[in-house]
Amino acid sequence: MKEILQKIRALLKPVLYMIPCAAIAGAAFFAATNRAAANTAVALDSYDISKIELALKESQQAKQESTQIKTSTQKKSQSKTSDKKSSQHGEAQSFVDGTYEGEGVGYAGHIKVKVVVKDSKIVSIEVTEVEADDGPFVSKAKGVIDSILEYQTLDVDTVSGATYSSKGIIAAVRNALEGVEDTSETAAPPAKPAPTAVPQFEDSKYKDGTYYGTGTGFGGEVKVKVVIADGVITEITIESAGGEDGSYLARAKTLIAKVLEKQSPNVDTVSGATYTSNGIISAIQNALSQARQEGDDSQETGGGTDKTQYEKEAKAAASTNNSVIAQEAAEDVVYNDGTYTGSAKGFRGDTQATVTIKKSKIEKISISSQDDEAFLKRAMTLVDVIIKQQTTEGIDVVTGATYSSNGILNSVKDALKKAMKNGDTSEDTTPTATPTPRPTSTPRPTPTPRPTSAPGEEPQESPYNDGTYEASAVGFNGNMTIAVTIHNGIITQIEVKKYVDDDEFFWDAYDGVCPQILDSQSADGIDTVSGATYSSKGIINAVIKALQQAKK
Amino acid sequence: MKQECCKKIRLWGIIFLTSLFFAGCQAEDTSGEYEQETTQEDVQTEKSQSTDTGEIHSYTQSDIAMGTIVTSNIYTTGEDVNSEIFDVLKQVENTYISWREEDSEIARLNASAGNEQGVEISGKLEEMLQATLDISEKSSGALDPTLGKISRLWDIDGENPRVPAQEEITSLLKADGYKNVFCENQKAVLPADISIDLGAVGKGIGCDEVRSFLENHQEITGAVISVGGSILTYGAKENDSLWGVAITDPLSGGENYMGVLYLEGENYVSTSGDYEKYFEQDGVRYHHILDPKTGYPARSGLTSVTIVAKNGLLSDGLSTACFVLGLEEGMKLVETYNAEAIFIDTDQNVYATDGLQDKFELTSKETYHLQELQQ
Repeated sequence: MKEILQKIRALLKPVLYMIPCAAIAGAAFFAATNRAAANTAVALDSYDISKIELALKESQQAKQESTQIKTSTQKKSQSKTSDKKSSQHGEAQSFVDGTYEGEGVGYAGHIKVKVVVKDSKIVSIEVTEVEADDGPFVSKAKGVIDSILEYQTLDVDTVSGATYSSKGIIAAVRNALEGVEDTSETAAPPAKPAPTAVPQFEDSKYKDGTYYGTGTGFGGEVKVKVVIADGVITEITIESAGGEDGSYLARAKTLIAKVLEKQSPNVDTVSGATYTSNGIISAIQNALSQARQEGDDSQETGGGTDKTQYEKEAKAAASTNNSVIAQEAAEDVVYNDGTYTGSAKGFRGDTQATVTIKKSKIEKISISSQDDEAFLKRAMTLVDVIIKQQTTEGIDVVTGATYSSNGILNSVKDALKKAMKNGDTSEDTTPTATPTPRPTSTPRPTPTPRPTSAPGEEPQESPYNDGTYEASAVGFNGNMTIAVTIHNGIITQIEVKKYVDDDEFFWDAYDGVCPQILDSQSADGIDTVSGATYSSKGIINAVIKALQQAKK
Repeated sequence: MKQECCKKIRLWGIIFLTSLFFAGCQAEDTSGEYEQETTQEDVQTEKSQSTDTGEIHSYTQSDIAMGTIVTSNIYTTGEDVNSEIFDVLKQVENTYISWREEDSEIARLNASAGNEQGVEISGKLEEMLQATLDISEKSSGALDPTLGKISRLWDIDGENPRVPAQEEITSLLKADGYKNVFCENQKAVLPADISIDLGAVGKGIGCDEVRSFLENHQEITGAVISVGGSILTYGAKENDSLWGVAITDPLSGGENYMGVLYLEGENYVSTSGDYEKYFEQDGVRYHHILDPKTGYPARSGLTSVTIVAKNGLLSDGLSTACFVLGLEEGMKLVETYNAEAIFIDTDQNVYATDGLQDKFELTSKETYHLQELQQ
């Protein structure tokens, strides 16, 4: 018996010793796994980005869905998100009965609403007054009214694609119910300089025939066909106006009847569709100028001048063909400000798109390519459309297109990917598909605004000559080529022409280094970005070399 | 007793330290990996890690292949194999389709025209030929692969496009030329004066070949390829959203789109239009889609036909055939093959088959009008 007990004790002893050891080993192990959890936490951050991008893509699809056809397949991918959408609103509240009026700030001006509360519930919200420009967006944003009525709270999602108008309506309702004033400012970009009235056209006699003319509308080229028979303008049709928004085109088209009636293009533009009207009028003038009887010098009409200008721009480019189109655009707020370059391998070299985002909107897309001018020109129409629509989301490819509009599309998508950030709807929850973190998806810090060269502003004696200067330097994987633009003596732009460093590091370096250079107007004393030292140094050195070339 | 205790203590001490050591090692390793991933300085491992961790990258490349511009986008956890995809296309063209390459099977086949013995052809070419001839049959000759010689008269692709003289066309025109092609058991017999041109289905064949390539590369989880405008969608994008396939606006000079098809998974989309390849003479536009019955460009009242079908050859062939047939007959043909279609006529009316009505969004609403189909 004693022996057995002794044996048991002997056996137990090691176990007793083992416990503290195991505890300590366990503790160490636990610490190690916590470290791993820290890793996972980091991975989760990029995981969040993918969720955000997913939400962005979903919201883009939701936008498309809401306009026309509800697709059953779209619903499938939407239904996964519908649950989380319904949870994105505040708690229902109760209100004081009565009828109230309120005012809020929308996209381009004020929105007035009338709110009726009965039995402590908001029973109706009516938009009583709205600025002209806001019209189409307010219609879109009326979804928030439905949300407010359904959930009985002002804490609801804005409608994607009509953010400011949504906020304006919500603010107006709040103003009505709580007396809280909406002090926000309109979000409309500084008004496009009032469209210069198309110059008066000298009426004259016209030769019989069919003439084609072009002009510039809001989103690009407008082409018309004008038929003269027996000296009379008998027919005017719009051949193409791909860049014009449907509703504006519909309104502007009504001026055609007036032209036929008056037998002259000197007619009023249609209110609310001024740019498109101007485009059509210029195009008609352009066509008519071809139809003048001999003896009249053909004036350079609006259409003609625009065409030459574009061609000049294309020819004046340096070794690579550069075509630049700057346009104001619609109101989706989805991008970080800054300049982003994306590229796609074209068939004669890289096609690069440099996209400038300002106030979260695409302001400018510059395409650089070794492909020929004709190709570029044809492809620029697509760029117009992209700027107009403020996104390439939703379109992956174009069928029936012989030319590589797909190449341009891809390089712009690439640039926009880098600029994407969370959409304006409230925070996202569980994603639907399994998002995989992508190297290019880390959010970019908003670069500090650059000193824009205001006209008439006298810069202090600048050491640089105006122009664009290219220089190369070595990064991590190899050479990079950077182009620095000096305008009015100020460094205004730093553009990436070529790089072979990994995206993940390169763009971090770019975003960290360039704002510093632009702020200090110098490449000296610039901090490199930690973890992307080589790329940072490469960019800085390239800028130094470029600035050397620019020195007076 | 003391000695024994010491021994035991030593033993347990060793075990204790060893377990600590291993636990510590693990902690070290994970932190090491973490550092390596984020700094540029230690990036050698990062490169191989990116392919191991299952992250999806997308790669794009455009190039010229099959006589047209090809753009390829792949979503993959592996490397950028786009150049291999282009090689596949070049290979297919040289082997099967190009009648210019002397070595190509088609060239050999055409050279044997008039030889009653016929010539041996590969299983693959036989498949392509039979599929094409099937469409010819079912479309009553609206698609005809024997049209090559007449196409070359027009020279639309070439330096001197022109309107051929009526006699030139008449002399070459063989009614229902496709009916004279015999093809079975890997043997093909062509009567004299007949030559085969798979141009009308070539791009679709290219898409089919690319799909085989993609299937053999498991690491590619999604792709969208445009072979001169004939589209293959495959798998899914990295976030599972639908493929947006835009349809070119015939009035826009070919660079803008009028609507978008939202598709899932594997699809073959082809568009035939009168705006793609053409020349103008005396104010008349002569486009490249010839009517095999007349030898002149088809004037069926349509300006564009887009087909969504279950393989590339079919979608390509049907788009050509339907363009020639016109709306009514074209729709019937589409139905015969269980395919889907979007027809656009010269009055800017848009017709979509049932299966696409929920998937198609018209973006150019002012110019185009979506019509109901009376089925």
